[in-house]
Amino acid sequence: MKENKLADAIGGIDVRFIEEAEATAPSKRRSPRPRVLLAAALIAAALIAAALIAAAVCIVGFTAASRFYFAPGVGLIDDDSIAAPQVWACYDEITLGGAKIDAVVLSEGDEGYNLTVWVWRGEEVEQDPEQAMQGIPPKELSEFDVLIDGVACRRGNSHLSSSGFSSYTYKNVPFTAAPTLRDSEGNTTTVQLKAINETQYGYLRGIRIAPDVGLSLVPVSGTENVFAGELVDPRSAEIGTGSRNTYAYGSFLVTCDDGTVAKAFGDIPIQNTETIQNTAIEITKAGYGKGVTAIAPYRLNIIHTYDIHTEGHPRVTVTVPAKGEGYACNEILLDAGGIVCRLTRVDYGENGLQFTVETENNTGSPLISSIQGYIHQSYSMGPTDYTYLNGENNSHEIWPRNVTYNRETGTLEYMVKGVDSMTDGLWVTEEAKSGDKLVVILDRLSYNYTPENVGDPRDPQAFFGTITLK
Amino acid sequence: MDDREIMDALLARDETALAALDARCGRLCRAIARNILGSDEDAEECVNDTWLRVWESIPPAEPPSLAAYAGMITRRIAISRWRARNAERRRAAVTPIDELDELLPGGDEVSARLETAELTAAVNAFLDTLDRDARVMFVRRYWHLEPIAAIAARMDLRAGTVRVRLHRVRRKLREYLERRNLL
Repeated sequence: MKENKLADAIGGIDVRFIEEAEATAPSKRRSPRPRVLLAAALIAAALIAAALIAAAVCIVGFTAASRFYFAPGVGLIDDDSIAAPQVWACYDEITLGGAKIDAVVLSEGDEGYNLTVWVWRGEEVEQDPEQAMQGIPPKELSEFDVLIDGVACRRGNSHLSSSGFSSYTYKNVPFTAAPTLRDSEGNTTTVQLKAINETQYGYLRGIRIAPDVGLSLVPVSGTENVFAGELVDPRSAEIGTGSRNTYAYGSFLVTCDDGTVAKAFGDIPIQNTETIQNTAIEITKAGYGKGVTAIAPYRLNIIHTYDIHTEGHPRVTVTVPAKGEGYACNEILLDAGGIVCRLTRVDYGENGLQFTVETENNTGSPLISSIQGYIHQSYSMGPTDYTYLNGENNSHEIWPRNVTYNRETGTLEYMVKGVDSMTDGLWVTEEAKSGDKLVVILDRLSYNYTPENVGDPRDPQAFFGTITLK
Repeated sequence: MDDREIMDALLARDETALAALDARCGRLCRAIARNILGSDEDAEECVNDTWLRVWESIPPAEPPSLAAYAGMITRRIAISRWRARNAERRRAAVTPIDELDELLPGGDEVSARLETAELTAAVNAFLDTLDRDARVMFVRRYWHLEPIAAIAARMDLRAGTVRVRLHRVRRKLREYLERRNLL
């Protein structure tokens, strides 16, 4: 009998979620509503994936050079490539109402300055359960205003994490060395920022992932092992055009001060793309309560999710073939940033529709170790006017094949059994019909920066390099 | 006795704590066990095992919520029994555990590289991204292991609506875990 850890993992979820669910009392049923067909049919769809691989071999050098700055809202700063912005920061512990603020950092941005506030919210677990059920956030989660010369600034992104930290970023604010923070209860405090440079803060260091890609990390708390990080990936700006979301996710090993090694992971915002969602993240629970002396990334996964409604994003119309038949095609689903995804075949086998997608990596980066493209949405143009992909039922892990270095061509196949539609609670499986028209788009593209042979992340050869913190 | 008094009694090795525990958490734990095992008799055995585990684990454990702690133990015992029982026979009904197994395939490779704590942290973060109704549905289905019909009645929704929303939440969870290379 197979087992997986998800059921066990859910067993250990935060108590507040359980209490919230417990507080949802049984309610009286409404009188029956007329049975209405909700939507006629959902659709067909498909997924795909693609992939390829590469052999990229070498770990392109890394550096822990002190020339690299971490600058929230700006990214990794390298004196050799772009002028380093000035950074002002306050790492003193500040109390505002019930919140403990660990760091406030101001840095030069494109149209002004960016200010990021990191807030410890670890006391959240002690929140009044009654208030939690009423949706009242604890003080540690209250919104912050930043006042500069008495004027409230518009808050940009915020990022809440499960590790106890939140970050709030205010973009394009005027310069100030003394921002005033104000919480939602009206408490205020003025923070004194000091100009910093690498000679004062030797831990403001970064690591070079590829010739034009860099990652920076910086501790945001003197007492907790939480690190903010940013990934600069100019390629992402090109590939991300038209996407509604971009994520970068990193896996790390950390070396603790007692010599033990622990795993860490976290989201990483990407700079140089309009699709940025967050401007600061933390590597969560690094070190598990111990001091951390070094961090080494061993996998960086970047995912672009495309918006099906974005004009200009390639859409390909295909005709459903008769059962048992198929045809070759050559339709571009994505061509950006050196990565090409192409729909090359449509088949209708016993198990349903099958799309074949090939991906090519022409970026020239030897460290992009795999690319996967997913067709996640398709529109029916036949008698069913609204459709969406039942992605979960149809998601199969498919690995690339036919891999060749630097022009990687992989084929991913995705089987679509038919159309799963829901009509007032009844699930109906409807076969795609020969002659139906489907519009296919690429929904997601992911690629990995991963050195070769990362099977065992504890293998020193698996790393890009190490960021030494102490 | 309230939670604190029961905890104090457990820490003092006072056996009256067990009766108080049953009064305080028995209903929840029996419901969880019955949801997955489908039998009052099996559920009762499961709950008795739960009290034993609680007695053995407190101290040193001092959980912040007794009900959540006891419920978690019951859930673990019930799932373990369910898996052992169903390894020997095929089933037709789809249970919450089936749905989770489908979401996260149980291949050796996947299981080996995942740490439960890491996965739990990711699930916690994911739950924070959901709206309240979706979160409650998810927790009642996959933590309480409650039938779809019961969740629908509790939330005044049609069973089909709950099924579809859970389906979407599972899809989102899958995508969320994929983004983090946990799948």
